[in-house]
Amino acid sequence: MAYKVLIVEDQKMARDNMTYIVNLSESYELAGTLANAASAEIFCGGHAVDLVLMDVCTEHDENGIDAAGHIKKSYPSIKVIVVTSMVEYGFLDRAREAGADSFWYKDGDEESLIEVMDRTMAGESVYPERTPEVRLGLTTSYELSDAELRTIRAIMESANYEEAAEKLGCSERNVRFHLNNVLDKTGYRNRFELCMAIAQKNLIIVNPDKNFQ
Amino acid sequence: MKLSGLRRIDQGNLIKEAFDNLPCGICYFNSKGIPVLCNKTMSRIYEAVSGRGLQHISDLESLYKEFHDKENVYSVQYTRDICIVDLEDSSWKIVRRQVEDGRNETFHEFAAYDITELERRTQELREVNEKLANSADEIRQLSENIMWATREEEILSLKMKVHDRMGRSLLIARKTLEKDEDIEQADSAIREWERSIRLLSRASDDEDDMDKDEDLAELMKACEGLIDIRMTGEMPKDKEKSYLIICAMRQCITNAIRYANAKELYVQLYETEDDVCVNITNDGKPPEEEVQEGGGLSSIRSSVIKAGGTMEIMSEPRFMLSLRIPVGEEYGI
Repeated sequence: MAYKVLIVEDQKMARDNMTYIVNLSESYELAGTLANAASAEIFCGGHAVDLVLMDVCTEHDENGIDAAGHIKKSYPSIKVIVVTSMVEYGFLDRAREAGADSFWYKDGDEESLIEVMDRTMAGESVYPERTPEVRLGLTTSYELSDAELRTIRAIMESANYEEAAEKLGCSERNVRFHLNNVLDKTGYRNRFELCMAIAQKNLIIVNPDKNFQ
Repeated sequence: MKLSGLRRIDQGNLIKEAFDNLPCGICYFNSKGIPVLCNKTMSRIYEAVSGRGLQHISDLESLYKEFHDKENVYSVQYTRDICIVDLEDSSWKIVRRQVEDGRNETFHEFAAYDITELERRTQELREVNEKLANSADEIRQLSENIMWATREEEILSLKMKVHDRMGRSLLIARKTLEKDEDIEQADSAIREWERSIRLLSRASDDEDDMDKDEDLAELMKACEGLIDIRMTGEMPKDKEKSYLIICAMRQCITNAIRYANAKELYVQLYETEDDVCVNITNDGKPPEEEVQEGGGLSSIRSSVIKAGGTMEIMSEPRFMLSLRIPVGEEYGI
């Protein structure tokens, strides 16, 4: 009997492509598709769903990781694979915290997605070891510590160091300390250059109005 | 005149000269408000503010009460004991206090400190902070633009993969047909090619965000088999307002299923001259006690307030959520 798959993806072509991938394997059949993650929990309540392929950024900026958390809480037997093309460093941890069973980067091919689906349905939790490495000036994202990345996120989401320090629950001096370390590592001249580079590479996505924090 | 008298006069002049040349302004008034000691700097400051000489304590005290609209004074800001005077070429902070001499006589002291450089640097910092705040906005805007660009790159990458698939399936089909091999394999390759064409042709469809009808249709689709939605009235034309209503419906559906075991949700939409009004209720079990707003309903309330509207929740005789959202300029366009 084929597992029933719900695809949550706002871009038509990506949705159609995932539908194509689901139909490639006899182990799976399509339960439905949605463009907006916020409706996914309701869908799972009224339809037979075994597996959800959940995009992170969906219609109306609704957060797929949040939706994954709601589904896992209400219907723990439904497997959820979070999918994204963005290398935002926080997504892996947030997906784990939400209880998502697995995680897949969209730049992989069809075979790799089918493999992740098979392993997930077999009870495995399949996560990439790390977010893809991103070059930042003279260094790469792998050379930045968690504290440094958290500090840079707070700086990007704040108007000044005081606000960033308040968000982090530390002193301004601490904020400047981490920032200076990152500037030394990357070779960028100032925080503006650094933040622009990070935003361009999608390593940190700034979206304070919606729950991407 | 005796030499000692001359020396006292000289010393007095020296002290006066030094007093006048202090970089700050200073002035003392006795208990009757008469100035007993005032240096030239303070006199100059007061003259610049008022256009006349300093004669009584009330002259300076008036700076702590009134706004002076003089040609050569840009602003006077005051608190209880501090007053800031901005002149054309300088800024002064005037602090007042009471002092006693060694004989228990009380004097009122007014001291004016030159804060010109401090004000200039504070203004520079304000401008830098404003630029940084704009930079923060720029970074946010850039991040939104980058997200859009990433999604476009994702679509392009998909199209390239689909093209590759098409190419492979065409090659397989051609090879199979040329060598008169397994026709089924050729059929499979051609079907693959057709699927790819369909995928690419759908990709060239308008990729714009869903419209309000699609948003509602998707919610209805999600609810199939779970709860029926009965709507009267029409959704507002404004996409943001209609999505806000859909979010409220979605939250009510979740709560109606979870807490009331409802099978039907009723949504009544109507307009007044100023507002779009929505009432949402269900056929399930009424609440046993006053409904407490959880995260979902609170989030709806925040969004409604942000839109300039109001939200009310009734628990008796049955649950009802009522929204009023101002029509605004977008509606009806």
